[in-house]
Amino acid sequence: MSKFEITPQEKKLTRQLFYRSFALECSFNFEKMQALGFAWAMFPAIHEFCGTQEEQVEALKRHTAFFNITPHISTFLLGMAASMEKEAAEKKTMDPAAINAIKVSLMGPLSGIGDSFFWGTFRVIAAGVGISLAQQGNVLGPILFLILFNVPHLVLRYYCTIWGYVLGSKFIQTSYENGLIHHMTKLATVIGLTTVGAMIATMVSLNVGLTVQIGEMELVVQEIFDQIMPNLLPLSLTMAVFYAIRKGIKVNTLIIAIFVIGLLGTFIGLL
Amino acid sequence: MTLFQAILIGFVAFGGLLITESGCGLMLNRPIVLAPIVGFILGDLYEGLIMGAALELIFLGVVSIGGSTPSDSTMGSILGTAFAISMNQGVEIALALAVPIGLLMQMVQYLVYFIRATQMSKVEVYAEQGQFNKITRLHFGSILIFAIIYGFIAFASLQFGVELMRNLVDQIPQVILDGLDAASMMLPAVGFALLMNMLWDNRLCVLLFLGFILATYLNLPIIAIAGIALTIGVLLVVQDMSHNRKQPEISLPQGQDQAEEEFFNE
Repeated sequence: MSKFEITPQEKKLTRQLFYRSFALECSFNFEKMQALGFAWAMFPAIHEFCGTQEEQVEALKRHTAFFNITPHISTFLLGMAASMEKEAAEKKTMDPAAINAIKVSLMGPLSGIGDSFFWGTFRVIAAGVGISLAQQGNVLGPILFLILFNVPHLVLRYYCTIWGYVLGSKFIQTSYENGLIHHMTKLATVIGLTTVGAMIATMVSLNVGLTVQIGEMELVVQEIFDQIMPNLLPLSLTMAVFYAIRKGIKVNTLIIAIFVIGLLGTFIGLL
Repeated sequence: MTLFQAILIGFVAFGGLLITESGCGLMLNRPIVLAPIVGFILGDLYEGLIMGAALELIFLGVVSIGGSTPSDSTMGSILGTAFAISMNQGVEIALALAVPIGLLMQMVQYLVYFIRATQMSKVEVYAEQGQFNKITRLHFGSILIFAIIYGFIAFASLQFGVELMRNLVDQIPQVILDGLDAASMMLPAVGFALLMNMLWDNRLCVLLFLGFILATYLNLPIIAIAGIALTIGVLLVVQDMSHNRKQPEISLPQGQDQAEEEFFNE
């Protein structure tokens, strides 16, 4: 692929951007979120491409503006911003203000993919495998969890730096137009939703301990539910919580509600 | 718990905060990793693993998206595990302690984000003067202070709190312990509901049911289910692509999408 040819010096730069992206949220705050982290990660690029003091000041101002993205794919925008700084330094006709505008406009769509892939898909699958091993007291649980998550994470994170640098903003724009971003998000959603559905069945548990005496016959209520469908109660519970979240009920309220249900249910012998 | 063990766990909390707050995303701060480490320090790796699995489940939906995290799972899982193991208690006590500790520490975290925000006006001055070093110092200064305090909180709670906690827990009647146990089995529902909320798509939500059926009736392992989902996902995307090529004008029914969403939010 001839598109990916970059000089050794540029390769060194992308590697620095990659390493520095791991400190993105060290000064996370409510006003500028990851702004300082992004600026700090951009230092090598600013030193490389901005010769004069004024240019450096301008670049610093640009990159200390409000910023927030899924950290795992922040490298894409770091690479892209670096290549645009280079372009601005080489071609004086380019308006450097465009760098920040494009950065800001891509934060949202990229975070959309990043969140659903890294938080919603890779992590959930890795956790599913890790939890089922750790539940048996197997030390491979946490280890496999870390490997399953971090191998795709680190590979993608590193290559995103290079892709961002080489392909630049044009690529993102066209892939937004031809629907690539949409397709990737859809793929992540399909995998994420299916695995979450599976884990509701295996990892949420709710059993009714109630028995009803009808004449001579003793009726175990849980058996009736199991006849309809095993795991019916965990599924209903999760859907109810999901519906409550959609209704805008606070997560903490729901957690407390579950504690109350658990305690009361046990107390009256229902659970 | 010996002094040495409390100090070691303090260091785990220190490191856990650095991992969490740096945003490196390596997942070393997840309960499934931290709880076994704490268990190992306290000489009970097995219990640490069991508690780590349970804590990971309830904190599964606790992810930092856009800077809002509902609970501090790092301190919650470290202290929850440490208290439970040192009192010879089971998973239900670890969970019952981890949840409130996590909620409490999250407020501390928000306070830190707020204090940092008041410092941000300095950034413009430093940028104006081109002072790279001062920006670096501002970027890394507060996380170190926060991590030291955080580690100390963990150490102090364990050094001075175990006896207090033991007296408290000893008085809990059995029926409440059973209730906590039942609640802890239900709590993962919140995590999954949060994930569903993040991933939800009205046209794809039926796949949730597919995953549920595959796990309930076929007992397939999670990797197999993910593989099936990947296959379906690729098929759908390929179909979308060929569809888009034929009719490029009506590729995204934006309006309809919105109407559906509004309907659901109703």
